Amino acid sequence: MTAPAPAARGAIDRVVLSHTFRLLRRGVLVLAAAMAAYAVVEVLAYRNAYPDQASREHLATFEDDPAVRMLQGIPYRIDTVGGYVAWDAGWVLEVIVGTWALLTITRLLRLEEETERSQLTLAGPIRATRLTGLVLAVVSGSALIVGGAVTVALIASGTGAAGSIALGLGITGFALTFIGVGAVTAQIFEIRRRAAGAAALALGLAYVVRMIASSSDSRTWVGWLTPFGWVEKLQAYGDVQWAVLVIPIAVSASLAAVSLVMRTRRDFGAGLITVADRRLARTRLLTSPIGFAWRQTRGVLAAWAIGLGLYSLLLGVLVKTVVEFFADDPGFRGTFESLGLDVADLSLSFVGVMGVMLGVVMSLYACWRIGAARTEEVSGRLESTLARPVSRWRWLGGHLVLTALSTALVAVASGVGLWVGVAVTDADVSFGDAMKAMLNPLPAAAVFAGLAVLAFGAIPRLAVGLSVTATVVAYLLEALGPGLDMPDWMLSLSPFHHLATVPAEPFAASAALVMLAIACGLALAGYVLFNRRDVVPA
Amino acid sequence: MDGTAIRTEGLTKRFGDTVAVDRLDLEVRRGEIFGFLGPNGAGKTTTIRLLLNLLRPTAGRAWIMGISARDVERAHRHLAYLPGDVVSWPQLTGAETLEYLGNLSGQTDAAFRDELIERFQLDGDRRVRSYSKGSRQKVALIAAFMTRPDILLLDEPTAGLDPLMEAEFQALVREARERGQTVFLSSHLLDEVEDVCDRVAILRVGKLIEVAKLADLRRLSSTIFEVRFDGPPPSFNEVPGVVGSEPIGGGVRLTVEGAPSAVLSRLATAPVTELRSRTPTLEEIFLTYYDTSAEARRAVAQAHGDGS
Repeated sequence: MTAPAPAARGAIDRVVLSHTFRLLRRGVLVLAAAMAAYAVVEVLAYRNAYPDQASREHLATFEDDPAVRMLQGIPYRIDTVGGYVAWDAGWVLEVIVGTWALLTITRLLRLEEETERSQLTLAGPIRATRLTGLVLAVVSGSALIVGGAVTVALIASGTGAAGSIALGLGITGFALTFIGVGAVTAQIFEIRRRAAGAAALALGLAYVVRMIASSSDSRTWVGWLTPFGWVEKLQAYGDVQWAVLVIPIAVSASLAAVSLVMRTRRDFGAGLITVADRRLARTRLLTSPIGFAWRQTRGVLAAWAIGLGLYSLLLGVLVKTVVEFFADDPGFRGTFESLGLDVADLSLSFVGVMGVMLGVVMSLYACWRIGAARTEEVSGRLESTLARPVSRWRWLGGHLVLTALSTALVAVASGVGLWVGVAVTDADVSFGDAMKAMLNPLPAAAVFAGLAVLAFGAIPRLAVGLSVTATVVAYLLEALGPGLDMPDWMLSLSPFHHLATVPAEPFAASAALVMLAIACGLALAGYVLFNRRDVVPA
Repeated sequence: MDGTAIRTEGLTKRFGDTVAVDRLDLEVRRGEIFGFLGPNGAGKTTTIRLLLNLLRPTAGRAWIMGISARDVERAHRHLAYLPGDVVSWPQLTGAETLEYLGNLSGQTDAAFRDELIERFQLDGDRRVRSYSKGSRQKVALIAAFMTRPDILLLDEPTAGLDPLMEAEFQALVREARERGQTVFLSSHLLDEVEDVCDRVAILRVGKLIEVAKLADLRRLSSTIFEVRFDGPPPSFNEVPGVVGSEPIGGGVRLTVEGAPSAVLSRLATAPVTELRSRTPTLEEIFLTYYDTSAEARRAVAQAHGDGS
């Protein structure tokens, strides 16, 4: 028998490229479709809510206040459909695509190595740096697909080709930047969780820098320091500054180059920062499944609590600015009163609305927390636990209790953060008000956690995907539904629709009870289904 | 409680159209070492997962020490499980893993655990992440034995162990029998169970085809001779004991049942250049004794992949 001729390098590259794309293509297609759909819904909602030029100009002035600026960025040409979408939805799309980028690249560059799967590839005639480069190429190409989907959707919605192309490329550039960031952190840390965490921290910082940049006209230059700012400075749907696109391209190329150099400086499986493999046993919290789950989750929980706490603090600092802005302008007061709101309660209304908004994030955390239980099963470690005299109820119940407690803790951290913010600026919000605002959305979060448990029992593969999607859809329903003149029954499908603006309004206790009952019912059904099905590592 | 350690009645598991375990009736007595043999994909692991209630049977039932396998909080107090595919929490050290698993079982013999750590030379202060495959296997082995359970369910236990540690493992199994523990040992290697088991069950495509004492199986089983000659091989057609003969490069492969003296006499007069003898592999036993139909050959060949 003669050995086959060695494959050409190009052929090997093609194999690696197609294999890598196979690993992420489903996520890319779902993401591209979801982002395109979101953009289209925004267009429809805008056209519906602001059908004529007068209402659009009114919006342009009404929406341009410091609070909104800091949350969403500086409005640019929002009297046009495209300009409004870029401003109102752009930052959300950027956060989503940035999160996808850093999760995906750390998964391919670190998790594949952590699980030793990529050594199968590296045993072939391919250098580690070349593999890294090919993975970067595939993920970058996927980012272009996602950005392209937004562009196509917006052009099809009639918002104008040039602006849509600019926004799509801006979103792609944003993703490229965080692909670069994740590629670097994947070289530094030997665990994917840390690599993704560090990259997520960078994304959070970028958001905070943009808040600073939008806080005052004298500070707009700060916007050049954050990827969010680069998309803004592109001025899509107006006087498009194409040259700005050079920044994300240059930054991501440099980060990619750095990651390649870093790859040559380390062994397979190692990071540039190594954690000691030896340590004396720490046996605390190893006595029960719930104790152990707490031990595993507390690090991530701390990150969520601190992150949301700091974000709420920034919101708290804003309260006074917002209230003064409105109070100084009789026009706004009139508009405000015409909406049935009491100007005296303005600061309470503001924190109430923010509470509901953060409730979305709390819900996402709760879904993720149930997903951690699913991860135990997928990894095969759940078998080790359930082969002991531990019932499925005891194990799952522990995760449910932990989910409830940790979500409540995240809410409390947000409340404390908010209160510190308002206290520093001496705004008219008490500690109790701040707490009420942030604890108010918990019943809604419970519904989504219950949904995650139901999915875990029925279609375990979709435990996180389904509940997170439901959370996002429910939020969009609440945010955009009224603009689209959706019927009441449809709006009331969203748990967020049933939250009162606490503390400006009294807590909707009966709605909360109904939601908690639904949550318990969903969780119970999920448990029953879990108890009936096979435990299978994926 | 009856006198059996493990009992199944018509235990069946289907995954879609595939029947993984087909109406399995099994009885493992207390205190015996029971070998559970079969090629890859025969349903060994599925059976163990059914016994553990990790998988829900499509039909049939199982009992552990007379307790329904569904009542895991009681049944699992009597058993320990060594998975074929060991996975553990990468961030814990070996010692922490043993501590946690011991606490879940609620009955660790700490002195015995430390003795096992010593015997298997496990460095317990290292994170599981940094362990070799063999060390991970050692952690799982110690975790299974340290609770001194009534029943040990061991799924291909020596995978990843070096010969020295394998000998240690076999000593451990014998000690377990002396203490009256029941060992259920699944394997696709006859060698692995041969030295320690009292009885073996043979499983093929989900069906139990034989439960026999090992001594009987060995009596049934044959010896394979591979002989090469300087010149054409002599005929073995009429030699007593030879039940099979097939040509190999420069010689012949003989399957011999019972005493080999007649074959050796014939060989003594032939120009033999090389002689090797070995016990048949499990696959060869299947093919020779249990079902020689073409269908069975295909099934076994499929289960073993194309390489064999």
